[in-house]
Amino acid sequence: MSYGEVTDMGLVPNCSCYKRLCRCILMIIIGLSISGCWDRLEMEDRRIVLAVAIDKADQGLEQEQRKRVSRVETFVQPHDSKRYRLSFQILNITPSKEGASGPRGEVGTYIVSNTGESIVEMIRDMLGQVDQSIWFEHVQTIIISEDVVRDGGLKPILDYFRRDREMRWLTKILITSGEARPLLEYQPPGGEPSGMFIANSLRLYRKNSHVPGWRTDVGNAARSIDNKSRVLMARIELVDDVVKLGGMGLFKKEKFIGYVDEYAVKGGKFIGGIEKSAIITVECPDHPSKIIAFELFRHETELTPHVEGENIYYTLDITMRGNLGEKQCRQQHNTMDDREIHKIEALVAQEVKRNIFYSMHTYQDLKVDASVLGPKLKAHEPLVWERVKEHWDDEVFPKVSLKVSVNVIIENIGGHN
Amino acid sequence: MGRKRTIGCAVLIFVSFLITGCWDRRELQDRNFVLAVAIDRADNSKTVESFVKPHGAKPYQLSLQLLKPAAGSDGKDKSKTYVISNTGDSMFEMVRDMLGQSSKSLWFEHLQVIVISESVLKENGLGEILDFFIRDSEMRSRIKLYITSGKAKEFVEYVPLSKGAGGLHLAEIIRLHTRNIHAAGARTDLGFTTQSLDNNSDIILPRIEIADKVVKVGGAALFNKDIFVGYADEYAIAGRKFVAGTEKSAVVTIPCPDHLDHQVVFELYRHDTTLRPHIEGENLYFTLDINMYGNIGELQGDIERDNTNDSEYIQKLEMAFAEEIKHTVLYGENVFRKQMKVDSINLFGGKVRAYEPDTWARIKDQWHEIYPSTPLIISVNVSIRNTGSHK
Repeated sequence: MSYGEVTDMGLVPNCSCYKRLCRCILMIIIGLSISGCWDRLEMEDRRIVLAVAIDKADQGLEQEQRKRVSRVETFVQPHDSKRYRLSFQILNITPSKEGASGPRGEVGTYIVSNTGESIVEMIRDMLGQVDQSIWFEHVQTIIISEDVVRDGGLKPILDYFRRDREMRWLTKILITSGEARPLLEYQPPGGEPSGMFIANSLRLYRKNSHVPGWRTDVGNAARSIDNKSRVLMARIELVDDVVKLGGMGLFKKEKFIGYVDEYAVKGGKFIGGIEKSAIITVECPDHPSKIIAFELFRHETELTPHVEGENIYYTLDITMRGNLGEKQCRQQHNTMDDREIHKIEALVAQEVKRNIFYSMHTYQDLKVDASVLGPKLKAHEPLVWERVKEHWDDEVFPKVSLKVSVNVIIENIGGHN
Repeated sequence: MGRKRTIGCAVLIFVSFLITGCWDRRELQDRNFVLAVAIDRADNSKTVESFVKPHGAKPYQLSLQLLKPAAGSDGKDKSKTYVISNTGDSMFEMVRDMLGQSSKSLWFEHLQVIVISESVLKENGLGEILDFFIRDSEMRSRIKLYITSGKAKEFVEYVPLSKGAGGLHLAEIIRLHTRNIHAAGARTDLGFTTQSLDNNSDIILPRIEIADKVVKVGGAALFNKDIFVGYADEYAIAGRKFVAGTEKSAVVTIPCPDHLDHQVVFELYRHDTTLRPHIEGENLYFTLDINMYGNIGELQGDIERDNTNDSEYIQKLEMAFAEEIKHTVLYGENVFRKQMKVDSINLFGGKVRAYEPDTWARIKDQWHEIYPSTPLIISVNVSIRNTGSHK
């Protein structure tokens, strides 16, 4: 601390005192501006959306009751028609009940929906149905009904989800042939909300070769639409009280083309080499209807494009290593005998080839390159790609040929011979 | 010096990356515990629980009972488990496809019980059905097996009255086989069945039935090698267990020899059972010597009239019990040997192999023809040690 000095002229303020004052004021201003909580939004003031379902506005309105509800849910819109029904699954966190044992509160969900033309307009109108603002940063799953994309394509629906900054790019998108909203109402027996259940189930794609797991989220879909290439979506179905993932829906540019089955998905994964594990089953040639299953756990897959003049072809070299997973004709073959094992290896290799050609033909018939043939050409032969990329899906891809060579090695036979 | 130190440090850091040991960890909450498995014949009713495959039929319906995580906190009457199913021809492929119905990977190391429906066994051998469970490394050998004449899926859907997990409940029932003479539980789990399959010997598996909310284990399904041939009732199982000596305790009931209007019960608690093959020239026969020790467990009559302090009466009872046990054994032998022609768990064949290896080497290929007609000479001796805490 310093004070004014006594001089001949009397007591006068020192200039260092002025500086000090300035500093103090600055500190206070900075302190106010860096408190960091001026725009806070507490947990209990948010309504966290876990899953989104998009249906057609007139879907599921058979009952008079639903019609009445739908009229209340929506708003007056002077122009255009109501095209979409947007439904949100919102997390409902309530503290544990009085007298209930244990600290665990119930985690439930509820659903709000609305109909309209613009997604963002519907969302804002939904604020008339909830008590707090809606929070999208934890959306796990977006489920789209087939009828919506058949009519309008993917672009108008997805635009908001890739434009808004609350949306994450790793949100999973799925397609269903029925209505999407009941999937939000579905209560998985394990207790978690269905939005999380579906996203987690899709994450098991490395072990379940019947679901596509590569490039099926919002970010990839957005990028694919921008690149005018195909979009893949896992297919989900709800029948009675059973939910099942399997197969996928294919979009060319942003138009819905159709579904492909589990077997084609599996073959597509073999071509791209994206599977981590897979079960390949063959029928025993000596004992019809008895199954031999090979469990793949390691593979080397090399897909190389070759260009000869106008002719584009691919070579696919696959080496698969794995175990014998199941052999239903168990007594008849001696698995200790190398020749028997080699016989099974050859059978499995043949089956992998057959599977690959099945999906190749499926994709070529649909004129959609759902695997990675296009990107491979772009990487290896950028000049050729520049020439063909405009009509790749429609003209070039359906005519390319694939030369497959598969080598299967059975390393172990499991816990029993 | 400084250089050495640097290298030492680098090695230490590098090693610590390698030995963290948790690179492939899978937390409890990321696993779906499978407690029970049911195998039925597929009826193609729900097509959503399956997958497209261009070749092969779909003969099996596989149902898994999964444990609900953290169940029971809300509502005491909720089930602790739930069921998912699938159809296909390969068990392994179905299990993997079921990941599309589950949010966590399936974990079989705590699998308790496999229930197989008779409808599957009529067209498929036991070996091919069980091969996946025998081969996979996650399965334990002590998994219990049951056969049912109805639908096996009902057992994985069954919620025990105690509200516990169904799979555990089913597995516990058969663990009591040493005291329940009606249940065939000795050497009937997955490990022993695998042994029997490998040795090409006949198999016996306990039978389980369900009606409404009642589940009951009793009797057994008999297999000629791995082909299902039929069921044996509880009385035949008792006879078979007396021959094999696998009972630890048993209850034998007879009408009182003096006054036929009431029952007397013998509670066996120790026995000495010897089954031995004998060869005389070309003839093979077996002797069965049973010595049994036990108490009088129940005497419904008038104890003034039937005096248990009277040693003559006790001796009379011992004779009558021995007769009844002989009768039980003969009944069981009739079912196993004459009707089904099944030498389960290689009981008789194993004795020949152990005592007369040379003969066994000669006859083992025709054992199935020889076995039904080999004579069995039975002698039973019962001694009653105590009369209980009342006379």
